[in-house]
Amino acid sequence: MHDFGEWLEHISWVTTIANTAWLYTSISVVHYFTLLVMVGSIVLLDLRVLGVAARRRPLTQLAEELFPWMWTAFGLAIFSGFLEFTTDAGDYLPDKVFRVKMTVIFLAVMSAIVVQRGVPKWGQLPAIPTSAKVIAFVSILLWIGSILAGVEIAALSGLG
Amino acid sequence: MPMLFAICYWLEHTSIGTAVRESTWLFPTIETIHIFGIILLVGSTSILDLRLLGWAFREDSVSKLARRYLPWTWAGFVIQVATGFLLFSSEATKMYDNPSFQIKMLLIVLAGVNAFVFHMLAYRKVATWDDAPVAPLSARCAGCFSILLWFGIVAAGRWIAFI
Repeated sequence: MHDFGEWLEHISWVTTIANTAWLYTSISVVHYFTLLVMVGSIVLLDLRVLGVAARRRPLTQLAEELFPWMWTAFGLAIFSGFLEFTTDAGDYLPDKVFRVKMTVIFLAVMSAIVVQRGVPKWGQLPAIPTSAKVIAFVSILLWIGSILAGVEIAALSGLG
Repeated sequence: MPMLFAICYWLEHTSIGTAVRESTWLFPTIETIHIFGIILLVGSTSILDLRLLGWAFREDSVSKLARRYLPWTWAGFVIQVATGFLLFSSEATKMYDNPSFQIKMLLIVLAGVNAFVFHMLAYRKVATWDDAPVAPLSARCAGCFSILLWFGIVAAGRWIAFI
Protein backbone atom coordinates (compact mmCIF):
# COMPACT_ATOMS: atom_id res chain seq x y z
CA MET A 1 0.00 0.00 0.00
CA HIS A 2 2.90 2.27 0.78
CA ASP A 3 4.30 1.53 -2.68
CA PHE A 4 0.94 2.43 -4.24
CA GLY A 5 0.97 5.77 -2.42
CA GLU A 6 4.51 6.47 -3.56
CA TRP A 7 3.61 5.51 -7.11
CA LEU A 8 0.66 7.93 -7.11
CA GLU A 9 2.83 10.75 -5.79
CA HIS A 10 5.32 10.32 -8.62
CA ILE A 11 2.87 10.52 -11.51
CA SER A 12 3.91 13.53 -13.60
CA TRP A 13 0.75 15.64 -13.27
CA VAL A 14 0.62 14.90 -9.56
CA THR A 15 4.13 16.25 -8.98
CA THR A 16 3.19 19.28 -11.08
CA ILE A 17 0.26 20.03 -8.76
CA ALA A 18 2.37 19.34 -5.68
CA ASN A 19 5.11 21.71 -6.85
CA THR A 20 2.90 24.52 -8.15
CA ALA A 21 1.72 26.30 -5.02
CA TRP A 22 -1.08 28.36 -6.57
CA LEU A 23 -2.45 25.28 -8.38
CA TYR A 24 -2.58 23.19 -5.23
CA THR A 25 -4.14 26.04 -3.26
CA SER A 26 -6.74 26.65 -5.99
CA ILE A 27 -7.72 22.97 -5.93
CA SER A 28 -8.01 23.26 -2.16
CA VAL A 29 -10.27 26.31 -2.51
CA VAL A 30 -12.47 24.42 -5.02
CA HIS A 31 -12.64 21.50 -2.56
CA TYR A 32 -13.75 23.96 0.09
CA PHE A 33 -16.55 25.50 -2.01
CA THR A 34 -17.86 22.11 -3.11
CA LEU A 35 -18.03 20.79 0.44
CA LEU A 36 -19.84 23.95 1.56
CA VAL A 37 -22.54 23.36 -1.11
CA MET A 38 -22.71 19.63 -0.43
CA VAL A 39 -22.94 19.82 3.36
CA GLY A 40 -25.20 22.89 3.19
CA SER A 41 -27.70 21.08 0.94
CA ILE A 42 -27.96 17.86 2.90
CA VAL A 43 -27.96 19.51 6.34
CA LEU A 44 -30.72 21.90 5.23
CA LEU A 45 -32.78 18.93 4.03
CA ASP A 46 -32.10 17.04 7.27
CA LEU A 47 -33.24 20.09 9.23
CA ARG A 48 -36.43 20.11 7.13
CA VAL A 49 -37.02 16.43 7.99
CA LEU A 50 -36.54 17.38 11.63
CA GLY A 51 -39.14 20.11 11.11
CA VAL A 52 -36.73 22.82 12.20
CA ALA A 53 -36.10 24.66 8.94
CA ALA A 54 -37.85 25.57 5.65
CA ARG A 55 -41.19 24.41 7.03
CA ARG A 56 -43.12 26.28 4.36
CA ARG A 57 -41.62 24.09 1.63
CA PRO A 58 -43.02 20.61 1.04
CA LEU A 59 -40.39 18.02 1.92
CA THR A 60 -40.42 16.23 -1.43
CA GLN A 61 -40.14 19.48 -3.36
CA LEU A 62 -37.20 20.70 -1.28
CA ALA A 63 -35.47 17.35 -1.70
CA GLU A 64 -35.96 17.47 -5.46
CA GLU A 65 -34.32 20.90 -5.53
CA LEU A 66 -31.44 20.13 -3.20
CA PHE A 67 -30.22 16.64 -4.11
CA PRO A 68 -28.90 17.53 -7.59
CA TRP A 69 -26.78 20.25 -5.98
CA MET A 70 -25.66 17.91 -3.22
CA TRP A 71 -24.54 15.07 -5.48
CA THR A 72 -22.90 17.35 -8.07
CA ALA A 73 -20.98 19.10 -5.31
CA PHE A 74 -20.11 15.69 -3.85
CA GLY A 75 -18.65 14.54 -7.17
CA LEU A 76 -16.54 17.70 -7.42
CA ALA A 77 -15.50 17.38 -3.77
CA ILE A 78 -14.32 13.80 -4.38
CA PHE A 79 -12.47 14.88 -7.52
CA SER A 80 -10.72 17.87 -5.94
CA GLY A 81 -10.07 15.91 -2.76
CA PHE A 82 -8.52 13.10 -4.75
CA LEU A 83 -6.16 15.55 -6.46
CA GLU A 84 -5.07 16.89 -3.07
CA PHE A 85 -4.69 13.32 -1.81
CA THR A 86 -2.46 12.18 -4.66
CA THR A 87 0.14 14.86 -3.97
CA ASP A 88 0.93 13.23 -0.61
CA ALA A 89 -0.67 9.81 -1.01
CA GLY A 90 2.18 7.98 0.69
CA ASP A 91 1.60 9.99 3.89
CA TYR A 92 -2.21 10.12 3.71
CA LEU A 93 -2.87 6.41 3.23
CA PRO A 94 -1.56 5.17 6.60
CA ASP A 95 -2.70 8.30 8.49
CA LYS A 96 -5.28 7.52 11.21
CA VAL A 97 -7.05 10.90 11.01
CA PHE A 98 -7.37 10.60 7.22
CA ARG A 99 -8.82 7.12 7.57
CA VAL A 100 -11.32 8.35 10.14
CA LYS A 101 -12.35 11.14 7.75
CA MET A 102 -12.89 8.67 4.88
CA THR A 103 -14.92 6.38 7.16
CA VAL A 104 -17.11 9.19 8.47
CA ILE A 105 -17.71 10.51 4.93
CA PHE A 106 -18.66 7.02 3.79
CA LEU A 107 -21.19 6.74 6.63
CA ALA A 108 -22.47 10.28 5.97
CA VAL A 109 -23.03 9.47 2.29
CA MET A 110 -24.86 6.27 3.26
CA SER A 111 -27.12 8.31 5.55
CA ALA A 112 -27.77 10.78 2.70
CA ILE A 113 -28.85 7.88 0.46
CA VAL A 114 -31.17 6.61 3.19
CA VAL A 115 -32.69 10.11 3.48
CA GLN A 116 -33.04 10.41 -0.29
CA ARG A 117 -34.86 7.07 -0.48
CA GLY A 118 -37.00 7.85 2.54
CA VAL A 119 -38.20 11.32 1.52
CA PRO A 120 -40.77 10.19 -1.11
CA LYS A 121 -42.42 7.98 1.54
CA TRP A 122 -42.12 10.45 4.42
CA GLY A 123 -43.45 13.34 2.34
CA GLN A 124 -46.67 11.46 1.67
CA LEU A 125 -47.48 10.70 5.32
CA PRO A 126 -49.52 13.16 7.42
CA ALA A 127 -46.54 13.60 9.72
CA ILE A 128 -42.86 12.80 9.30
CA PRO A 129 -42.14 9.63 11.33
CA THR A 130 -39.83 9.68 14.33
CA SER A 131 -37.55 7.12 12.68
CA ALA A 132 -37.02 9.59 9.83
CA LYS A 133 -36.09 12.33 12.30
CA VAL A 134 -33.59 10.02 13.99
CA ILE A 135 -31.97 9.29 10.62
CA ALA A 136 -31.87 13.02 9.77
CA PHE A 137 -30.29 13.84 13.13
CA VAL A 138 -27.64 11.13 12.73
CA SER A 139 -26.98 12.42 9.21
CA ILE A 140 -26.33 15.94 10.53
CA LEU A 141 -23.93 14.58 13.16
CA LEU A 142 -22.04 12.60 10.53
CA TRP A 143 -21.62 15.62 8.26
CA ILE A 144 -20.42 17.75 11.16
CA GLY A 145 -18.03 14.89 11.94
CA SER A 146 -16.74 14.76 8.37
CA ILE A 147 -15.80 18.46 8.44
CA LEU A 148 -14.26 18.13 11.89
CA ALA A 149 -12.22 15.15 10.69
CA GLY A 150 -11.14 17.16 7.66
CA VAL A 151 -9.80 20.07 9.70
CA GLU A 152 -8.22 17.68 12.20
CA ILE A 153 -5.99 16.21 9.49
CA ALA A 154 -4.07 19.46 9.24
CA ALA A 155 -4.16 20.02 13.00
CA LEU A 156 -3.04 16.56 14.12
CA SER A 157 -1.08 15.16 11.19
CA GLY A 158 0.25 18.32 9.59
CA LEU A 159 -0.88 17.11 6.17
CA GLY A 160 -2.58 19.19 3.46
CA MET B 1 6.81 48.15 17.71
CA PRO B 2 3.73 49.33 15.78
CA MET B 3 0.59 49.69 17.89
CA LEU B 4 -1.45 47.18 15.88
CA PHE B 5 1.26 44.54 16.13
CA ALA B 6 1.52 45.15 19.87
CA ILE B 7 -2.23 44.53 20.22
CA CYS B 8 -1.90 41.31 18.20
CA TYR B 9 0.98 40.18 20.39
CA TRP B 10 -0.99 40.91 23.55
CA LEU B 11 -4.06 39.09 22.16
CA GLU B 12 -2.01 36.02 21.33
CA HIS B 13 -0.81 35.83 24.92
CA THR B 14 -4.14 36.15 26.63
CA SER B 15 -5.36 32.95 28.26
CA ILE B 16 -8.02 32.51 25.52
CA GLY B 17 -5.54 33.01 22.68
CA THR B 18 -3.12 30.65 24.32
CA ALA B 19 -5.79 28.05 25.09
CA VAL B 20 -7.02 27.95 21.48
CA ARG B 21 -3.47 27.75 20.15
CA GLU B 22 -2.24 25.03 22.47
CA SER B 23 -5.25 22.72 22.50
CA THR B 24 -5.34 19.98 19.89
CA TRP B 25 -9.12 20.01 19.68
CA LEU B 26 -10.18 23.59 20.44
CA PHE B 27 -8.90 25.24 17.25
CA PRO B 28 -10.34 22.56 14.91
CA THR B 29 -13.69 22.63 16.73
CA ILE B 30 -13.94 26.43 16.48
CA GLU B 31 -12.82 26.17 12.86
CA THR B 32 -15.61 23.65 12.16
CA ILE B 33 -18.21 26.02 13.62
CA HIS B 34 -16.65 28.79 11.48
CA ILE B 35 -17.17 26.59 8.39
CA PHE B 36 -20.84 26.02 9.22
CA GLY B 37 -21.12 29.76 9.82
CA ILE B 38 -19.92 30.28 6.24
CA ILE B 39 -22.73 28.05 4.97
CA LEU B 40 -25.26 30.09 6.96
CA LEU B 41 -23.90 33.54 6.10
CA VAL B 42 -22.88 33.06 2.46
CA GLY B 43 -25.82 30.73 1.77
CA SER B 44 -28.36 33.33 2.88
CA THR B 45 -26.67 36.29 1.15
CA SER B 46 -26.35 34.25 -2.06
CA ILE B 47 -30.09 33.56 -2.13
CA LEU B 48 -30.82 37.28 -1.95
CA ASP B 49 -28.04 38.11 -4.42
CA LEU B 50 -29.35 35.58 -6.95
CA ARG B 51 -32.81 37.16 -6.64
CA LEU B 52 -31.37 40.65 -7.19
CA LEU B 53 -29.54 39.36 -10.27
CA GLY B 54 -32.81 37.81 -11.47
CA TRP B 55 -31.20 34.38 -11.78
CA ALA B 56 -33.35 32.51 -9.22
CA PHE B 57 -36.30 32.80 -6.83
CA ARG B 58 -38.06 35.21 -9.16
CA GLU B 59 -41.49 34.07 -7.98
CA ASP B 60 -40.79 35.71 -4.60
CA SER B 61 -40.69 39.44 -4.03
CA VAL B 62 -37.32 40.88 -3.04
CA SER B 63 -38.56 42.27 0.27
CA LYS B 64 -40.11 38.92 1.22
CA LEU B 65 -36.81 37.12 0.61
CA ALA B 66 -34.93 39.84 2.46
CA ARG B 67 -37.23 39.57 5.48
CA ARG B 68 -36.91 35.80 5.48
CA TYR B 69 -33.17 35.42 4.95
CA LEU B 70 -31.41 38.54 6.28
CA PRO B 71 -31.95 37.47 9.91
CA TRP B 72 -29.96 34.34 9.08
CA THR B 73 -27.28 36.50 7.46
CA TRP B 74 -26.96 38.49 10.67
CA ALA B 75 -26.93 35.33 12.79
CA GLY B 76 -24.22 33.88 10.55
CA PHE B 77 -22.24 37.11 10.73
CA VAL B 78 -22.30 37.10 14.52
CA ILE B 79 -21.11 33.47 14.57
CA GLN B 80 -18.32 34.31 12.11
CA VAL B 81 -17.10 37.33 14.05
CA ALA B 82 -17.11 35.37 17.32
CA THR B 83 -15.39 32.23 16.00
CA GLY B 84 -13.16 34.26 13.70
CA PHE B 85 -11.99 36.40 16.60
CA LEU B 86 -11.13 33.30 18.64
CA LEU B 87 -9.20 31.77 15.75
CA PHE B 88 -7.46 35.09 15.12
CA SER B 89 -6.48 35.56 18.74
CA SER B 90 -4.64 32.23 18.74
CA GLU B 91 -2.21 33.37 16.01
CA ALA B 92 -2.75 37.13 15.77
CA THR B 93 0.86 38.07 14.96
CA LYS B 94 0.96 35.55 12.12
CA MET B 95 -2.28 36.99 10.73
CA TYR B 96 -0.81 40.49 11.05
CA ASP B 97 1.75 39.53 8.40
CA ASN B 98 -0.51 37.34 6.29
CA PRO B 99 -1.54 39.05 3.02
CA SER B 100 -4.44 36.64 2.48
CA PHE B 101 -5.87 37.52 5.89
CA GLN B 102 -5.46 41.24 5.16
CA ILE B 103 -7.24 40.87 1.82
CA LYS B 104 -10.02 38.91 3.51
CA MET B 105 -10.57 41.69 6.07
CA LEU B 106 -10.58 44.33 3.32
CA LEU B 107 -13.13 42.33 1.29
CA ILE B 108 -15.36 42.02 4.36
CA VAL B 109 -15.31 45.80 4.77
CA LEU B 110 -16.16 46.20 1.07
CA ALA B 111 -19.02 43.70 1.40
CA GLY B 112 -20.36 45.79 4.28
CA VAL B 113 -20.07 49.01 2.26
CA ASN B 114 -21.82 47.34 -0.68
CA ALA B 115 -24.70 46.20 1.54
CA PHE B 116 -24.96 49.64 3.17
CA VAL B 117 -25.04 51.46 -0.18
CA PHE B 118 -27.66 49.03 -1.51
CA HIS B 119 -29.90 49.56 1.52
CA MET B 120 -29.52 53.35 1.36
CA LEU B 121 -30.19 53.64 -2.37
CA ALA B 122 -32.02 50.97 -4.39
CA TYR B 123 -33.65 49.19 -1.46
CA ARG B 124 -35.24 52.42 -0.19
CA LYS B 125 -37.53 52.29 -3.24
CA VAL B 126 -37.99 48.52 -3.27
CA ALA B 127 -41.78 48.84 -3.29
CA THR B 128 -41.55 50.04 -6.90
CA TRP B 129 -39.54 47.03 -8.14
CA ASP B 130 -40.30 44.40 -5.51
CA ASP B 131 -42.07 41.93 -7.77
CA ALA B 132 -40.22 42.70 -10.99
CA PRO B 133 -38.24 39.70 -12.19
CA VAL B 134 -35.54 42.14 -13.32
CA ALA B 135 -34.36 44.54 -10.62
CA PRO B 136 -32.95 48.04 -11.30
CA LEU B 137 -29.34 48.19 -12.46
CA SER B 138 -27.95 49.38 -9.13
CA ALA B 139 -29.67 46.47 -7.35
CA ARG B 140 -28.27 43.99 -9.87
CA CYS B 141 -24.80 45.47 -9.38
CA ALA B 142 -25.15 45.20 -5.62
CA GLY B 143 -26.11 41.52 -5.99
CA CYS B 144 -23.20 40.87 -8.33
CA PHE B 145 -20.64 42.60 -6.12
CA SER B 146 -22.02 40.83 -3.08
CA ILE B 147 -21.61 37.36 -4.57
CA LEU B 148 -18.10 38.14 -5.86
CA LEU B 149 -17.05 39.66 -2.55
CA TRP B 150 -18.39 36.85 -0.35
CA PHE B 151 -16.91 34.14 -2.58
CA GLY B 152 -13.66 36.09 -2.53
CA ILE B 153 -13.81 36.25 1.26
CA VAL B 154 -14.26 32.47 1.49
CA ALA B 155 -11.39 31.86 -0.96
CA ALA B 156 -9.10 34.30 0.87
CA GLY B 157 -9.99 32.59 4.12
CA ARG B 158 -8.92 29.22 2.76
CA TRP B 159 -5.79 30.71 1.26
CA ILE B 160 -4.61 31.95 4.67
CA ALA B 161 -3.33 28.50 5.61
CA PHE B 162 -1.11 28.32 2.56
CA ILE B 163 0.92 31.47 3.14
